[in-house]
Amino acid sequence: MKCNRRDLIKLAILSSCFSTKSIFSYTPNTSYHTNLKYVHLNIAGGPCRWLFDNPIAPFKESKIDKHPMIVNTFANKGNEANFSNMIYGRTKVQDFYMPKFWEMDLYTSTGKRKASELLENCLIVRGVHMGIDGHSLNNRRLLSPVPGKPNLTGLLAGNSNKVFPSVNLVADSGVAGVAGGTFYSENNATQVDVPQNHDNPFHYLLNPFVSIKEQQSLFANIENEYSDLKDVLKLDFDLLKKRYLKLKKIYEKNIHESIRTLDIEGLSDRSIKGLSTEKISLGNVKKEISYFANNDVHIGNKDFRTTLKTSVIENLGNEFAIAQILIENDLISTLTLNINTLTHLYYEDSFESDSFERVIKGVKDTFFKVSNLKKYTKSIDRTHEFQLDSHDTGLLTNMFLSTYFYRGISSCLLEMKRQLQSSKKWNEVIFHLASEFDRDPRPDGSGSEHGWNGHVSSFFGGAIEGLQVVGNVEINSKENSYYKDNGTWGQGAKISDLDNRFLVYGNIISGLSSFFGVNTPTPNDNPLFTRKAGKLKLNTRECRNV
Amino acid sequence: MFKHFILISLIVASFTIKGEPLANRFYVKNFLLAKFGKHLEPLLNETIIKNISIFNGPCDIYGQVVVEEKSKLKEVYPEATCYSDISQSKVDMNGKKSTLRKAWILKTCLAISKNEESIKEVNSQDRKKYVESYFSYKEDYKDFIKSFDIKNSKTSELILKLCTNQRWQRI
Repeated sequence: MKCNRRDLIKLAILSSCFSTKSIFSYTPNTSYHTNLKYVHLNIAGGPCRWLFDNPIAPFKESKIDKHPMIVNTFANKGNEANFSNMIYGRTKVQDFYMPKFWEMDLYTSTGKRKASELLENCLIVRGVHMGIDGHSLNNRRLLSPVPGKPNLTGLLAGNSNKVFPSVNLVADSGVAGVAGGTFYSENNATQVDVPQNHDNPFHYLLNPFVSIKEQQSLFANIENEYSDLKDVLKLDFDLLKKRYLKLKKIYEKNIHESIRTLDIEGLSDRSIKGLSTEKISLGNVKKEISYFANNDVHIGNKDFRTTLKTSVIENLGNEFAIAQILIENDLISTLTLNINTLTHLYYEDSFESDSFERVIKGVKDTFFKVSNLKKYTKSIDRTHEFQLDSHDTGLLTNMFLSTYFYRGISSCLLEMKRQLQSSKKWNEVIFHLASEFDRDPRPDGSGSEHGWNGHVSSFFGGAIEGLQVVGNVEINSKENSYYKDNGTWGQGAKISDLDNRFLVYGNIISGLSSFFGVNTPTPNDNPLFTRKAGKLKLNTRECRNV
Repeated sequence: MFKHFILISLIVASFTIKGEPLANRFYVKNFLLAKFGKHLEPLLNETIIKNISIFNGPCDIYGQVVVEEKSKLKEVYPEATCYSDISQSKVDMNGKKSTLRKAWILKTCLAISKNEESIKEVNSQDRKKYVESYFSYKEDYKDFIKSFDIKNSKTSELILKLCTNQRWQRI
């Protein structure tokens, strides 16, 4: 093809007729629901969910193959725990049998309330196959299922007209290796990462607006260019600050009471003899010694319950207070809230875990031996923590500390629910609690491995009617599992409504995208749920143990 | 062949430019230092440089150096420091429009407009020439003088109006 100067000029003019924005540039989804908010509650580490929101036997007739590590109750009477009488207890909540956790009381600003109240608007998705192992990879996929494509919070923020399209409340897990760090928006929306060690995290968000408001008279002549700040500047920042401080106190008090009060029936309502009361000789020792393991320490406390004496969940109260303010004042479209673990645990008469060698002869053939018993001498600090990636967290430690960890989180969620119901915002939010995966428990009760084929996601919000549980699990874990024939812990099984395929995380992302009215980044995965008449509707209700 | 290449490139370029990139934190800081005085460095480090996720411009994880000064740690190279997390080394090079960015620019400009040294710096120059040199493009300068009386306005008002102008932030 010959091309002369005239043709070149014609084509150049033709090209410049297109706006500088791409003709393929992002256009907001017309079906996007601007008032809805998505809050992602991220727990990095993959702690077990079987004692909390993963009902492994959701119906009266559900068959399970018992695993020695999946227990949540001392079933004996009396005021001393009997280790040989531990069971997996359940409680009926609406149509489902949930773990006994949901019988307990949670501490809120209006006093003690039953934990099951939180399940009045809850969807639990169990048995989700993540396809591959790995912490960072799977945590990042919780919001960014397809690398290189816009992630969920980016899609929601890209359609947002809120002051803060997306906020990430940073915790110990940092930003880079977790879901909050995957933010990407094709429409140039931004995410604010609020650092956790900041003097005043709430002020960090509102800092520029506060000082501008105080000097409003000075910029009357530039008002047109900054007219989109007008709505924000109408807010009463003093009032917001006071409310934030008040809410922070409320949440911190709730957490403190929830994680320190020893009133859980069948668990902390009786003394629990610690490891130090055992006679430990050199040589081979019984496997029950490993029940007291918490990563680098075997907890010796005379009464195991005293581990909680000085415990805290740092920053959680602050984060929930900020979240509530942002939601109530319609300042966000999406929020990622990263949750720290229980820290500052109290140890006494404890031992270094190096003292106890786990000898593995076969997958289900292990024993423990002691060659040199070393006392644990480190003083209380943040490193005395409940290890969320609980490989070496023994049966008792896991049962006790994970229950209290989730109790702290649940008390905040229930408080949030009640507060948002009062401010009529509960129907506008979906809270999504997720971690990388559930856990595949060790046959010897000394810990658990990554259960990457059994992820659990829980959703809370006014758009969810009642308690809904979906997802099939294997009664006895089969192939592609760390431990085969390992009983019922939540390993995902195929779903006939999905053409006999596994439930994958893309089904959840497509469901959330459909609910919020944005294009899904996982178009090959059918949405697990959609939005109809303002409510979340499941596209399948399969919930079987197979 | 070369002409075909230019034609195709022009057409493709018109399809692919996505929105207007804005100046990142390095440009914003350096521009304001040049226009309103180097004494503003501490202010601009606080309001612009530290807000990596708002203004973009990645930090340099290998350039982070801190020294102890009066028993406090101080960054030697503020521009290199990743204030929140090493993931800030992967933020975009260019800035993006946002309400928060506007708020921080406004806050910074309010502070500059009240700064005595900045006012002296502007007063020490020929006002017309100063404003003309402020803008890279003549059209922007012409639009500015249409909407603002540079001759009779107070210096602090002029500084605020110039600083908060959106045009200089486009790259």
